[in-house]
Amino acid sequence: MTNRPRILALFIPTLIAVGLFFTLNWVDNFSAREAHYAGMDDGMQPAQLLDAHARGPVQAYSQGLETVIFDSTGNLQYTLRAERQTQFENRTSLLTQPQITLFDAGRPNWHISADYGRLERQQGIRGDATGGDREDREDDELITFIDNARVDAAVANSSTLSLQSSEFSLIPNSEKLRSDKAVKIVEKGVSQTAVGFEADLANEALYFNKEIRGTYEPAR
Amino acid sequence: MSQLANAPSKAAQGLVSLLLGITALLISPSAVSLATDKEEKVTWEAAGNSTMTVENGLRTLTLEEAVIVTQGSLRITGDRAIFEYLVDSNELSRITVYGSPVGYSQQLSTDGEDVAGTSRELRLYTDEITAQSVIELIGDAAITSPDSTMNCAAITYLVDLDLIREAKGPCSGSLRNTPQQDTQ
Repeated sequence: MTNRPRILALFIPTLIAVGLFFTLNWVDNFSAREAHYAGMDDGMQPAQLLDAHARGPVQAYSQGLETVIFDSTGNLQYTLRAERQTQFENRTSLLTQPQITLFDAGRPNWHISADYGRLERQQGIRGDATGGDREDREDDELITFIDNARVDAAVANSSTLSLQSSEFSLIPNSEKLRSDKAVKIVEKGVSQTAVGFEADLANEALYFNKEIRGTYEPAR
Repeated sequence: MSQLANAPSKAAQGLVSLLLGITALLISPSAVSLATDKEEKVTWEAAGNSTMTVENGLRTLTLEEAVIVTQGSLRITGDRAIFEYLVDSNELSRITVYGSPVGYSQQLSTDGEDVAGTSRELRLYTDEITAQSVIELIGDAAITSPDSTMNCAAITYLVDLDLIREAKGPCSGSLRNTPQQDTQ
């Protein structure tokens, strides 16, 4: 009976010490995580930040990304440039100001750009809905262009087609685009808007899903 | 309403077509489509999908479901429309509309007189030689202008002149007697 005050005298400081330890540890972790994201925030768009926060641990950062891809026969297939790349452990990368140039027979054919993009391995994307029967390979890269996403014919391309959307996805290997967002295309006096589209840039074939509106201005 | 023709032979059909064309020209010399229509933007809309492809120097735009095409006072409705552009110049060379039926209407003059027609297929293009706008109504073709009504298997109509250039029988139709218009 006489030992109870002594036990209490020891137990209470121990409890306080343990509580302090866990509290300080939590504060430390929280600060570190905030600092981590604060460093990542530089140069990122708000929408990209949300995406980045959802992707978990970062594996690497890089500035001034420039990648040149050749096909199996050694021909230049496409180049990918971005101001900044944030790579995550799940092999997904976020890109700031991504720009892709697709080549045809060694000449630039299409330019594709956006405010930011997401590069990932394609998982179960549907086959060709523009008329072909080719199924895209599962290991194809899928690049999603987000905010001010656009496609423009390159100088070497006789087409003057321009395509604009808030977001679309590109499979560079097959030169196919897809989106369920609103899209606008412009070419030499022809302008058309729609919601949802697919494009086969290699064959310049476009499919628009719904809500089609267009105009043609006769040459004067 | 008087029955103009229900021709049993090709020769008779041709004669009727010729007479109808000449009659249409004679009775409505002042009725021409709005001159400004050809200079207006072509607009279109569709409830369904659309495809755009390039082949053999032609860019083809296809529209599906509840298609509406307008150019000034010109209005065409149908189920499916195909626009053909020359790739080099991007000139709109032909519009073909299919429907059940295709509807066509256009204001002929600033007086508010209209021409209207229906058919299963409609082709709109510019004649390369005369530079006239041509509308071909094909399959159960019918056209109604302020002065006449005509039903044929197919009708070729010159929009700029309000002239039926060719009509493939069997045909039937009527002419309306309208007061002679004063000319100043």
